[in-house]
Amino acid sequence: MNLSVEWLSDGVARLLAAFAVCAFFFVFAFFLAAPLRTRKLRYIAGPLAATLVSFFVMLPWEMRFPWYFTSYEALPGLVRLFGGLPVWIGGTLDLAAIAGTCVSEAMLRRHLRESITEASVRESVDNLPAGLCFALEGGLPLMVNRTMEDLCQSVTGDGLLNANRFWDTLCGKEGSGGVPEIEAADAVSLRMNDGRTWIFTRRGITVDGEAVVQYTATDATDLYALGRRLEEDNRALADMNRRLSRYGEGVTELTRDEEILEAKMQIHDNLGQILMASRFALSSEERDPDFIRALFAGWRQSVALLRHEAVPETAVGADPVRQIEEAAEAAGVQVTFRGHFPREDRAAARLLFTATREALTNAVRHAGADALEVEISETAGFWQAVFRNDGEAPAGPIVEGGGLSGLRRRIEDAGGAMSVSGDPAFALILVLPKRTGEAGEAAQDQTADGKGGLL
Amino acid sequence: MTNVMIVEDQAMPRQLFELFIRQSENYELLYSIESAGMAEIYCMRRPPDLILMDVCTAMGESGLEAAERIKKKYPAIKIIIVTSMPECSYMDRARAAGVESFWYKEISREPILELMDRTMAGESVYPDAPPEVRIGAASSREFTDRELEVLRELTSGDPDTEIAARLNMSVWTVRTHIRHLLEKTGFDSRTRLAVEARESGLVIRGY
Repeated sequence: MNLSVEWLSDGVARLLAAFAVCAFFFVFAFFLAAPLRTRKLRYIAGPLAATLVSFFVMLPWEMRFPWYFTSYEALPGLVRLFGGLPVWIGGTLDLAAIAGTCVSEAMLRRHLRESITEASVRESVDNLPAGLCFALEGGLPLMVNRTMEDLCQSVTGDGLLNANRFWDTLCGKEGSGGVPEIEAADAVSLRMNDGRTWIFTRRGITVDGEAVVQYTATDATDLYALGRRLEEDNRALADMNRRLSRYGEGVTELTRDEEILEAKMQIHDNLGQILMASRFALSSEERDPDFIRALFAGWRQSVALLRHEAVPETAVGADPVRQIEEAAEAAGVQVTFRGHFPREDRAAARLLFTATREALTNAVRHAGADALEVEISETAGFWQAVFRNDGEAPAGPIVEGGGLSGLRRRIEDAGGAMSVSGDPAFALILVLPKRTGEAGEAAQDQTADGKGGLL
Repeated sequence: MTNVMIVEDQAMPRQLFELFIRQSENYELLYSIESAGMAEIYCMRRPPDLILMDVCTAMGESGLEAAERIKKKYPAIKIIIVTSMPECSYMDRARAAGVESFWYKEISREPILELMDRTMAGESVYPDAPPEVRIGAASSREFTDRELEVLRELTSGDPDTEIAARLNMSVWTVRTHIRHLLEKTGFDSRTRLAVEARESGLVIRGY
């Protein structure tokens, strides 16, 4: 290897060689600094060492400071050694330095990732979303993470220098900002200026036989938001319950009113009619014994209603089957009922009464029938009625006139169904939903009975 | 002799009408029934000459609807509507159905027999106006036709949306009418309004 000084005659070559030496020292210093705790120090140590070498060894020589280096022989041996190398060796050293730096960085990253160092613990604690502080009983902080430090800054306007004072400040501010107080002695809730809510807790622990106080701060913003929503929901629910309760009371009251109205209407009607009849009876010279007896009976019934000794009659009143049979007889038709006419279901009874009228009218007017059969059956939820007559079958398709179409509308409005068949003989089939008891009464109310009907 | 049918579900007035007819020389009682629904059936074989027809009859059957059917099929039959209900729409509906005469049971001064005579003589006799009734602080004559329509539907207990749909008006119009009704009557709730209106007979649904 040619180590003669003549090889360095070219200034550029010397500079490259000097740079290679610098790089070498940089890598050397880099590895030297690898065990250092932080990257910051390592990144500073390498370049610093290289710079020092360049400055004290290469640069003064290159600038030919006669007072420092008088001759090549006066240079330190190491410089003389590297300074005589060819340029390609300097370049290779550069590449090796860069590659070495990359490898070193990768190794270091892997090391940091796979090992828990004091720094990583500290970093993790700092990055915790919760605040953490350990302090002596006197208040001197032993460790404060960044979150707790920020919280303290936000609450007190200062850093966490004394944990006891910080806690006292927290206790003094509890309850402000609309956050409900926590009843436990070692827990404080507080809303910050940024709108977030934190719960601070304090707990005594022992570390290596020494009493230490652990302070934690937990972000409870979402929890309180959910709590508030729950409170609002509960308030809305309570409001609904109150309204439901009022509605229930109202319904009870309304039902009572309706019963009273029913009775009042009947008393009103009865009294009006009886007064009218009495006026006539008093002014008439003739006295019909039957009428006078009926008049007295009417007075007795009205007085009983007024004294609440009698209950109003239902609006169904007279026997519908008898009314139908008498009307049919007047029209020359024999009506036969099979099954039970649903008198207890007032809505269904009225619809069946109307349907029977339509069937009877059609039997006489269109079929020339002598007999009408009404078959009523019931299932768990429905009444079914089939009307058949013994008259002539319709000649063509049945066109529903005003009566049948009106009946269909009423049946369907009540939730039922209707079908009309003309083959082999006329048949009207109805299906009606069952409504018994209060439901039936309520349903009937929708049609608004004119005499004592409910609302 | 004029054959008469009485359609009346209440015993006392029915017996009274029967008595009038029995005591008269010009009239004969042909039928006396309780439900207007069956009146048309009775007319098929042997129709009466005159019908005294109540409006609110047994089994929820409307005398006005029955009268309309009968007048279409048997226009020669004369009909007198007899009612104790001051429902404001009854007279108009009776006229529209072609009913000859109208008689309020309790307030009409003219005896029913005289009215029957005049009707059979070809007259059409109607009262000047329905009886005035008071609903709270208001007289029934203070209400507009639309207000009375809303009031009638209000007695159904149905929500405003359904009332509006039935009357072909907006919900806001319905509520405005109800507000006006409450202001006129002085009632503090629509329930009270509906109960009082129904109790007075000013508005009756279903007949």
